[in-house]
Amino acid sequence: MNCEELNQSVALYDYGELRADERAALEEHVAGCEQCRKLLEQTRRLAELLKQDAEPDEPLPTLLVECRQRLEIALDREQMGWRALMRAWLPPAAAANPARAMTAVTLVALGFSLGWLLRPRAEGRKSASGSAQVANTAPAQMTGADLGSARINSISQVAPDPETGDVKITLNAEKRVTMEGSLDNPNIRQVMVYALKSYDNPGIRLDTLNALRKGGGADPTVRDALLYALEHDANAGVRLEALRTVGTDNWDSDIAHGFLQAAEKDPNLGVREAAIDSLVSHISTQGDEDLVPGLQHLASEDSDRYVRIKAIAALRQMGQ
Amino acid sequence: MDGACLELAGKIPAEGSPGAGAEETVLIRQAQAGDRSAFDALVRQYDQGVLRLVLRVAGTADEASDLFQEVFLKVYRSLSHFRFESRFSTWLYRVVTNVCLDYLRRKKTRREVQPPAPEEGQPEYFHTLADDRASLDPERALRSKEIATRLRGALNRLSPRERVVFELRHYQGMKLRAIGQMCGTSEETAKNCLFRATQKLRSELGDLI
Repeated sequence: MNCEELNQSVALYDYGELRADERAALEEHVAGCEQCRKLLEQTRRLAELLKQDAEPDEPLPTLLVECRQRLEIALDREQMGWRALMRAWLPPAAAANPARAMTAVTLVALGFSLGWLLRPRAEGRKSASGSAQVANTAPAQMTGADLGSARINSISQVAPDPETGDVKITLNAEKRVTMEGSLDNPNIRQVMVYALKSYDNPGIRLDTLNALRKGGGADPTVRDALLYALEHDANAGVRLEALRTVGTDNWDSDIAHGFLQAAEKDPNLGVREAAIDSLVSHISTQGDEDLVPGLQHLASEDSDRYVRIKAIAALRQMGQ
Repeated sequence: MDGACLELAGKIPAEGSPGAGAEETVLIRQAQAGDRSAFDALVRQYDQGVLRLVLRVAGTADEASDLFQEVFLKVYRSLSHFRFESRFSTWLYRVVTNVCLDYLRRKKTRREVQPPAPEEGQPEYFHTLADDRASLDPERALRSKEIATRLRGALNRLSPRERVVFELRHYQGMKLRAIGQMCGTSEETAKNCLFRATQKLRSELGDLI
C-alpha cells in the first residue's frame, strides 16, 4: 500500500470496514511512514472529537413520547381515510387485498355513477328527496355489514333537508345506496366525518359542513373533524365554513386554539378575519385570559390592519 | 401507543443476527393485513433509532419530529409493497435515507445553511447536551459550545448524500454495505461518499484535532 492508497483507506480502517488483507497492508505501511502515521492519528482524533459532541444514545424521552403520540394521531387520521373505511366495509376476502378489490369495484361502479354525476347538483337534491330516481334507498339504520355489502366506491352527494334537518347522502357503489336520517345516527355521522376529512371533492366537503351546521357539531368526533378541516383543508371556502360551523356556542380550549391558529396563520385573509371576528364575539360575552398572548401577538405583529385593530379592541375589552 | 412506557430498543440488528427473525416477519404480515397494533409494535422496534438519526440531521426537535412523522407515515402507506426481498431494517432505512436526503436538499436550496435557531424558551438541542456535560466548568462549557457550533457547521456543509452516509456510518454504526443498500447504491459508492465526507471534516476541523 502506498501513501495515496492509505489516504483513501484510513477512514475505512478506523471504522473497521477494511478486509483483513487491506488492514494488514495499511498497518505495515503506517509502521514505516511517519506522515501516514500522523494521518491515522489525526483521523482517530477526529473520530473522537465527533463522538465527544455526539448526542446521547437515547433521544430526549419527552421528544420520543411526543413523536409517538403525534404519529398515533396521524395514523388514526390515515385510518379514517377512505382506505380504512373501505377496508371496514369490504367483505373479509376482499379486505385481505383492498387495493385489488377497490379496483374491481371502481370499474363496476363507474357505469352506475357516471350518469348520476353528470346531473346538476340542484336536480340531484330534488330527485334525492323524492327518491324515485335513485336505484336503491337504504335506511340510516343500515349496519356496517349492509354498507360493506353495498361495496361503496365514492360519495356523490350530501344534501341536508332544510325543513326536517335530516341529511341525505348518496353513495356510489355496485348498487347505488342513499342513506337518509338524522344527524344523531352514528352511521350518518361516520360517513360525514369521512367526507369532511378525506374526500377529494371540495363541493361534497362544503355540503357536509352545511349539513353539520344543522346540529351535528356538538358530537366530539364531528367537532374534531371540523377543527381538522379548519386547520388542514386545502380549500379556503371549506375552512371558512368549518370555522362558522364550529361556532362559539360550545367554547373550549381546542376551539380557542383552532380559532387563534386560523387568525394567525391561515393563508387566506378572509378566513383570518372571520377567525378574529369569532374570537372577538366570544370575548364580548366572556373574557378568556388564555387568549391574551395570542391576541397581543396579533395586535402587534399581524400584517393585516383589520386583524390588528380587532385584536387591540378585544384586548381593551378584557382590560389589557 | 403508551407514552408512559419507554422501551430502550437497541440499535438496528447487525446483518446476520437473528434479531429480525420469524417474529418480525409475523408482525410485518399482520401489519400488511391491516393490523394496527402489529404496525405499532413494528414501529416501536425502530423508532428510537430513527429519531436519533433524524434529530442529528435536522438539529431541532420540531424538524426532527416532522421527519419522524414523514418516515413512519411513508412506511405505513407503502408497507404493502415490502416483499421480504431484503431485511425489513434495510427497507425501512431506505425510506429514512430518502426522507433525510430530501430534507437536506430542500434545506440547501432554500437558504444558506445556518445552525438552527432555538425557539423562544426552548434551548437548542445540540447545545443543551454540551452544557449539561460541562455544567461545572464554564470554560469547558464554552469550548464545548464552540466545538459543537463548528461541528454542526462542518456537517451542514457536506452534500446531502455525504451527510446521510456519514451519519449512518459514524453515529448509527451501520456497515457501508447496508448503507449502500439503503441509499440504493453500491457499497463502493458509499465508501467514496464516506471518504469525501471525512476529508471535508478533517479539512474544516483540522485546528481542533
